[in-house]
Amino acid sequence: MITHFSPEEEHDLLQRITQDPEAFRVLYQHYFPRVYRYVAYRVGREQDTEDIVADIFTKIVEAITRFEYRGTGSFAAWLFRIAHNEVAQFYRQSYEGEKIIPFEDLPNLASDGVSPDEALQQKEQFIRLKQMVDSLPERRREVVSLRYFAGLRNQDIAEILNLDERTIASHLSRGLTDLQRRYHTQEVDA
Amino acid sequence: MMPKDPNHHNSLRRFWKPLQPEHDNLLEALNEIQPQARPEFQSQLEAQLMAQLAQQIDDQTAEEIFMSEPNEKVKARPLRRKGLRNTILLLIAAFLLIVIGAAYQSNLINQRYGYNSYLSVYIAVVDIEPNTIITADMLESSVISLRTDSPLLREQFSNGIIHYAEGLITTEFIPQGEIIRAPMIHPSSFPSGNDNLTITIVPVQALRGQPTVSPPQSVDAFQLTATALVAHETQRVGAETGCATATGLEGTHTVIEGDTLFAIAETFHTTPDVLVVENCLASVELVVGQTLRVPFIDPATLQQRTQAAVLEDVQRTANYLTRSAMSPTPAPTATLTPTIISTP
Repeated sequence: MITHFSPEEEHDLLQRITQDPEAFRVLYQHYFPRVYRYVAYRVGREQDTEDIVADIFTKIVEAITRFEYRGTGSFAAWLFRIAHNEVAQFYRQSYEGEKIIPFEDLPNLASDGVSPDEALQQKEQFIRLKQMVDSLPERRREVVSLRYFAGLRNQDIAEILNLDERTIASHLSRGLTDLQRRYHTQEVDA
Repeated sequence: MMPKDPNHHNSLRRFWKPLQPEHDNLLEALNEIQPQARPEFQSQLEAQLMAQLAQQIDDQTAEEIFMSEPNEKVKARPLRRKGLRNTILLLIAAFLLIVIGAAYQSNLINQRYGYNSYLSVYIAVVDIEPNTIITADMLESSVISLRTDSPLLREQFSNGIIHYAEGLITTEFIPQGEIIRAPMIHPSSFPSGNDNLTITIVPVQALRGQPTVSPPQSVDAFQLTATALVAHETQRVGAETGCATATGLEGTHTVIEGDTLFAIAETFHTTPDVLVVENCLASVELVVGQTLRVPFIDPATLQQRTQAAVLEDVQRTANYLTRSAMSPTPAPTATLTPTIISTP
């Protein structure tokens, strides 16, 4: 379930959050799918994804009183900076390299009412996409993930990665071109 | 529409917008394949986070209520604790220093003189007429002069260190045999063996009555002659170890039932510690029949005093007043017998 709200509503919710836990519930329900998707694409296994997502939100709750609102998107940027750090920490500590992840370890994919064959195909697709993104250079990989899996704006990504917004745009376009090329060659291979 | 030519778009892409239609396939795939969390995971995490947040808000509210300036408190607390700890350490250090210093000095004195502590000089007034009345007023205002061969002792007297006897000033009457306590004299300042010490006490009334007559010698004064202090001191040092009775006290008192050291001291116008030292008492416990050395008091006077001490005091006061009214003042003489007593 994704709840949508305007930047003004988000600001209002953030201001109420120190008194009213319900405000956080709305934000959580809005951001949870994006965070989950971002982490799932970076990590792969469902178990790891759940652990990291739980860590991310626990940290967010602990630090929420110290968050300073700096305009539209600043909360998303702050939130995904934490997510980004958590994922990076996971890679440093327990990433086991390029291992083939069994299908049963993968998270559920958006496949309501699809046939088992199609579901299997989706899982293959997911692994292929993940591998393609993983094979990108580190910076491009981060930028592409934040842009397409987390759904952030370029300026928010720039803030998270401490980069210039134009650098982000450049990484994005080159990353996408890269991906596009591999996507087609792999499709041909398949 | 015609199928897209990838090369054509690629060439345009650099000058046009970053996202070209050629990415559509990829983006479609990305949009299509969305990892979904298990619903129970999402709801469990949500419940957990809500509980955590509620707890945090509670804690923060409590913090705001009890600590108006939490940051300052957090900073100040360790400092205060540190200050308290420093103070305690300082006190302990000072205490240890004092104890060590005192122990060291007392050890030094012990080694050198065989005494436990500082010395006090007691001057026994033994040779004055019975019932001679010396008032505190007289004593305090009297001129005490010293004649001695010891420059050091002379200097001490002239500096006022031994200006007047202390210890019994509160008593109105000083009978014969009274012990007057003088300020401490360190043994090193005692005159050498051949030195003589003479102390002259001039009653103030005499000076008042005959203002024209000056120097003490020409006035009727009572003379206190001191034996050589050093001789006495050596005697005491010898006595201290075996506690032989080398006392300047002339009288004796047999302890009867009900006697206490304090009562006896009061009767004989002295202090309990004088009795303890002069009699080599190990404790303040007295045994009936025990003989104590006490300052000599005329038996008749003693009886009188013990019978009606209060009346006696009143009578003595009256007596003193008549005497002081008489002129010239009688000339009592006293021999000074200094004794040195260690006070623990």
